Amino acid sequence: MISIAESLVAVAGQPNTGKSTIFSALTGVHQEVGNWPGKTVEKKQARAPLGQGGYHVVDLPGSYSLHAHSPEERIAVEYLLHTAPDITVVVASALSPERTLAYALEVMALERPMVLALNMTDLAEKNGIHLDAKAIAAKLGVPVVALSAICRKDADPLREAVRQALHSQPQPGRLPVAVLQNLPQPAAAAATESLRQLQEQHNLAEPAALALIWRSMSGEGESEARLRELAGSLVAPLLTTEARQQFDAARRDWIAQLTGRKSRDALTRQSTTAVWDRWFLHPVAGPCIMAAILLLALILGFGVGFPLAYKTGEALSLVTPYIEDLNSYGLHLITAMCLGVWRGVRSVFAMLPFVAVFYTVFAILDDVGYMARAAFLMDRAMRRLGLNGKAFVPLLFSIPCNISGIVGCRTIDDPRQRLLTLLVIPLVPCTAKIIVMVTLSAWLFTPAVAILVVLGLLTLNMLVLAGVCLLAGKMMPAPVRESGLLMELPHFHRPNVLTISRYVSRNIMAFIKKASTLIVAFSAVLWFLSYYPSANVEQSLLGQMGKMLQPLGDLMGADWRLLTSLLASGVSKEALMATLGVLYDTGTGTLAETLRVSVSHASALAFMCAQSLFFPCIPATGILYSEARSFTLITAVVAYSLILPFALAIMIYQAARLVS
Amino acid sequence: MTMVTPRSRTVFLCLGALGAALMYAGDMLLYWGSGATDLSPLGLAPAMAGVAPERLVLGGYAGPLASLLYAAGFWGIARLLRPGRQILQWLVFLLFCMAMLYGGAYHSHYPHLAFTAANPHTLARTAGYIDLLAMGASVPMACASVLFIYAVLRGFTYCPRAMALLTPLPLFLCAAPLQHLPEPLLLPLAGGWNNLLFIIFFLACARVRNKDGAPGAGHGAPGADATHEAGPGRSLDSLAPGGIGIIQTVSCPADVQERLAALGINPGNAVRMLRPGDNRVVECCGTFVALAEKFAGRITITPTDETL
Repeated sequence: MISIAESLVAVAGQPNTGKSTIFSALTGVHQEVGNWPGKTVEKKQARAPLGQGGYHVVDLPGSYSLHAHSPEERIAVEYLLHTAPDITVVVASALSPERTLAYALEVMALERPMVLALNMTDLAEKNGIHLDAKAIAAKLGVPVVALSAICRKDADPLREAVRQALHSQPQPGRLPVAVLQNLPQPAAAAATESLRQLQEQHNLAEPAALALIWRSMSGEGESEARLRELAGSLVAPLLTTEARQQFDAARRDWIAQLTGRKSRDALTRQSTTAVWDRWFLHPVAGPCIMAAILLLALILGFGVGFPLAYKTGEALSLVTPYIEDLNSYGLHLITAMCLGVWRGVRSVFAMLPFVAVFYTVFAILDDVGYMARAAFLMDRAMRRLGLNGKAFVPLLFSIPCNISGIVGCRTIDDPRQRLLTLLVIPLVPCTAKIIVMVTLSAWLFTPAVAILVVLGLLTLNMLVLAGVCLLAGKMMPAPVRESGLLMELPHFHRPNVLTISRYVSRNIMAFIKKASTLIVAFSAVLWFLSYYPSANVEQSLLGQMGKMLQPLGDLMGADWRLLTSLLASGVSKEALMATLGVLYDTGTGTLAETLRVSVSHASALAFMCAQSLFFPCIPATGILYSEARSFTLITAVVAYSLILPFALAIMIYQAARLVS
Repeated sequence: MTMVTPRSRTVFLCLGALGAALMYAGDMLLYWGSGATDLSPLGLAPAMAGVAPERLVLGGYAGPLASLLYAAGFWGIARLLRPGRQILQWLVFLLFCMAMLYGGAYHSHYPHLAFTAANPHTLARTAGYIDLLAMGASVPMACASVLFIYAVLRGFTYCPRAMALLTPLPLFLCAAPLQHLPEPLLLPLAGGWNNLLFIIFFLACARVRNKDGAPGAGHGAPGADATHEAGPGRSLDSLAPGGIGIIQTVSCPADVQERLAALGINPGNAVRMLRPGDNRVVECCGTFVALAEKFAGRITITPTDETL
């Protein structure tokens, strides 16, 4: 017998049942939690605290059934079918017990030892749903824990149930044979006969035979060919559409008995979510509310985040004199290097409050369950671009960072739509691009004009995104299957401060990690290139490289320093400001003043347009490739993100010159 | 929007016709004296100056009330649009209402013509202001009419295409020949035509039935009321908001059907329509499901008498 520390516990369930919260409760690891289906798009593993046994816990993405329709579901289904964890914690939602318990029965039919976590009981009680965990446990023969996983104390019984199950010899649950007995004739007779013959001819124990029949009739799990291979012709009469429909009905009736309510009873009262949805999904009020929410997010981002970012930048500047003091010890080279690196890092860290505000707003919207509504409302507009509403959430999550959006595309089940969304995500301006846009326009234009410039550039981004989407949609092969919106809208709930703060802190830490590794390394390289061979930027390696691009720069009104900064933004968008800081460091004034003197309005417009559409950063491109696994897609992204920015920048510069 | 049955739609349309009739009566019975042949505000002023002030005030007072009744009628007009056209529906309703707000103000200001008739300078300014109000009514009215004609011709409403001829814009064009009618027909017909055309419009619309002739069977129209009709094998679309039905069949592509089943949309389960439109939202087994029109159309239900 293996020790508990080597045991493996998998957390599975349908999307939006609270698996990640339960994973966090079991392990203490702050898994990202969200209130829209598909928050966990890859399986994540951690260990439970040593005091609880230190076992391994795997958090699987949600899957609606054991038939995978999207990449995230495929991860979960393949894991459940081909891996044998010691315990599978199946998370069912007490708000919709009918379908989530049906899923639990399908997992049970895989003959896996199981603990059933009946989550969201607090919300269920409020909605008049009262489930008897003890009765369910008695019927299913597995431990059942009713809980509200967001309450820390509620998770204790679940931890205890898992620990006890691991200590004892874990057993699979009892599939209800009553479902087969309640089938109408001749299906009931055929099922009973198959059950008997499987035991006699294949020497299967009754639970194993029942599980095989269950999988045959539900159509979940193995393919029909595999079932025929396992059971020969014994299950053939059970594989008909009619038999499966009768099985579905019998299973539904059994679950209705188990939960003590029929599907009609579930509709006898109106839930709070339905009341809210009258407004949030209203054809006129809904889009207005969404526009107001997004506008509020922007106002908060700029109104709160931007001044905070400015103050942070000022605070970080206080360190600079201390670095310069190193000169007094004769450490000239080290001082120059530290200053170069510090300038780069400072410009990135100054963006932190701006990013944090956006993450906070999106985390709140996500946590309360609004994001799925936004996807629903945007479906019509997205369809005009050849996408559907599901693509909207990844596109929206691309605003804080394109990487979040790229990974979020796993929730899109249609492969064509997923590729199309992945293709256009780099055109969504991320916070880093927006910050550069806002900072430069604030420095180079009057406040009123700066607002117009930023809005104009954002509109241009959206138009280019729509154009690329439409063009790519026409060039891609026609869809092989009928597509259309089909998605679950989660129940609304109050924002959970802990969940939101975890989400924000997790993303901020990822940002800091990126800033403290990639940006520091890049700043060091950049400093080296701008310092050698003669400590003069213009004659440095970087300067010489930049000057080679001058012919292109002449067309769009950008000098070699702007062009070099633009190319540096390919490494990371934040690197653009760092590079500008290094290349324009005259030692006599601030960067803003220097730029104001040396960059014309026409050049600034063209440059900002180019940077907003330029190549996505290296980490985003890497993840884009790993998600799409399509060389064609990456080539297309590289092609449009190199051609479009320069072409549009040249047009804007030349037009601005003509006008002026 | 709340649920409106074809019967209540008819009631709303009749209220609209009543509003038009009230405004017409205000014009004809309370405002006008005899002998006016120039129907412009300036031309009518001398004839109105001879009317008793109490009659004029009463006539002016009828304006806002008539506008309210008109708005009820426009609500009925908006409900003639099929489900999935909510934005168009709201645009038509709001534009018509906006037109009639100005229309009511226009009507209510007519007594000033009589009160200021003695002072040519003030009269001209009053007439100019009333003309401006008329403009405020005409522009949204024309826009709403164009939108409604577009909806009728594109089949977005339950109206036959010929109905486009009985909408305000084409009827308004008939005013030109009416201007040449002799007295005593001129004033009641040409002078009151703007209200008469709405009486025609509302009453013509009130005669429109949903496509299959059955009340509430209009493809899930917000103006339908399937919840009071029980019959086998109706489309899920036929459920009005709040209506509950029992799913009979689901015949979508296999992958869609599997997903629907996993979400609880299975034969035998009860389902409630929460939001009709091009994308529906239904509630089933405690789950809210958004599904495209094409999938909803392939789910049949047995409507129940229950609604929430």
